[in-house]
Amino acid sequence: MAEELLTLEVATPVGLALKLDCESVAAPSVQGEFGVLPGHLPLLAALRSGIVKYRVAGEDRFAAVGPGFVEAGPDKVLLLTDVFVRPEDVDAESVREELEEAESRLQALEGAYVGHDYEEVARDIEWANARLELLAAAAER
Amino acid sequence: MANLKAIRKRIGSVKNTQKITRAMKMVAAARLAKAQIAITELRPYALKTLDVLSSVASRAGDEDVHPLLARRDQKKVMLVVLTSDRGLAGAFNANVCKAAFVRWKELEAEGAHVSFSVIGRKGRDFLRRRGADIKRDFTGVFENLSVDRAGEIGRFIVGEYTAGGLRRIEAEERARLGLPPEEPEAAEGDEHAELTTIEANLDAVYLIYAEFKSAMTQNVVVEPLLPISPLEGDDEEEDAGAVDFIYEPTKRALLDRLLPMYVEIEVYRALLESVASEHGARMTAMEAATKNAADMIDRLTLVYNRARQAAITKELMEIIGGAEALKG
Repeated sequence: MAEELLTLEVATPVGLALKLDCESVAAPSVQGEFGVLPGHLPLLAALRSGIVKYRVAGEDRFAAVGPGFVEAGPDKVLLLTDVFVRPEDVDAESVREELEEAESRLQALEGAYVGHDYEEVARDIEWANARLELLAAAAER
Repeated sequence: MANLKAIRKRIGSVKNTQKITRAMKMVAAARLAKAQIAITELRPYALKTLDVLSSVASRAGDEDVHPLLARRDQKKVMLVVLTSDRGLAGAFNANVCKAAFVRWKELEAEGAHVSFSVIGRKGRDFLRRRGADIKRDFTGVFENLSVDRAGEIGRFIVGEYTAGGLRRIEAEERARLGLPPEEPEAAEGDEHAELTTIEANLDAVYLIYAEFKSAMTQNVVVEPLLPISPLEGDDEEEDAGAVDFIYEPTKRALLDRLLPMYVEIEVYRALLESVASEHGARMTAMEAATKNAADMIDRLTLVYNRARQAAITKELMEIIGGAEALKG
C-alpha cells in the first residue's frame, strides 16, 4: 500500500503558520497528549499550551502551540491556535524573563486564583513553559 | 491693492498645511496597507474556526442549547460601537456614530433597553454627549492592536452577555423540565438573585463598525454578534449524520471554548476592518485636502503676481510721469 500522509495545517490569527504533509502528528489536548496517524476517525479536541510533534520523512519535528482546537480526519489535521512557534524562533533568555515576570504577577495575586487576572497569568505561564519544554525537546533530539 | 507681504505669508501657511496633509496621507496609506495584510492573514483562521463551530453547533441538537446560541426576545441589547481615537478622517466617525444613534432609537422604540460599549474616543464622546448608557469604553486600542486586545474586549462582551444569564437559563430549563429550582442558589435570598440576574444579562449584542470596501468607500454595518448564528447550510445537515466527531472532552465543553473564541475573532476582525476603513477614509480626506491646498496656492499665487505686476506698473507710471514733468 502506498505511503499515506496527513496534511497538517496550523492556522493562527496572523496567518497560516504551517502547511505540510507528514506521517504522524502528536498534540496536547486538555485531556492529555494524543497521536494521529493516517486514517484516524474524525476527532475534535480542545488544545492546551504544549508541544506538537510531527514526523516528516522519518524525522520528528517539534513546535509549541497555545490553547486552541484540533480537528483531525483520516487525511488531515487542522490546528487552530492563538500562537505557534518553532524551536529556532524561541529565545530561551527572553522566555525565562517572561516566565519570571508572570510568576511574580502570580505572587502578587496572593492566592486569589480565580477570575480574569488569574486566567491571564496562568495563560502566560503555560505559554512560557510550553516554549521552554519545546527547547528542551529540540535539544534532546 | 492687497498687501504683497500678507499674500506671501498666506501662501507660505497654505504650503505648510499642504505638507502636513500630504504627510498624513502617506502615513494613512502605509497603515492601511498594514491593516489589509492583517485582514488577509486572519482570514484562513477565522474561516476555519467558523467551519469547526458550524459543524459542532449543527450537530449539537436541541437538547442543550448553549446560552451563547440561544435566541431570546431582545429586551436588553448592547451595541458595540467601533470608532477611531483620532479625527481628520472625513465622515468616518460621523457615519458610524449616526448608524449607532439610529439603531439605538429604533431599539428603544421597540421597547428594548440599550446599553453601549465603545471603542475609540470619538464614539465615546459622541454617545456621552447624548446621554447613552455606556458600560465600558476602550480607548487607545488602535495604538497597539493585537489579538490579545481583541480578546480582552471579546471576553468583556461575553462576560456582560452571560453574567447572570447562565443562571437564568438554567432556572428556565429546570422550570420547563418540571424540576424544583436549585436549592443553594435560591436560599441566598431569592428576591436579590432575581434582581441581579435581570440587571446583568443581555439578550443580544450588535457590532457597529465601518466595513472596508476600498479607500474611497466604507460601509457602516450593524452586525449581530450574540447570540451567535452559525451558518447552517443544507448540505451541512446531510453529512451531519455521516461523520460525527469524537469529541474531547465533550461537545458541550468544546462549545464553551469555541463560542467565546469565535466572539473574540469576530471582534478582532471588526477592529481590523474598522482600522482599514479609518485609514482609507483619512487617506481620501487628506488627498482631497492636499489637492484643495494646491488649488488655493495656485489661486493665491495668481493674486500675488497680479498685485506685484500692478505695483510695478504703478511705479513705472510714476517714474515716467515724473520724467515727463521734468521734460515739460
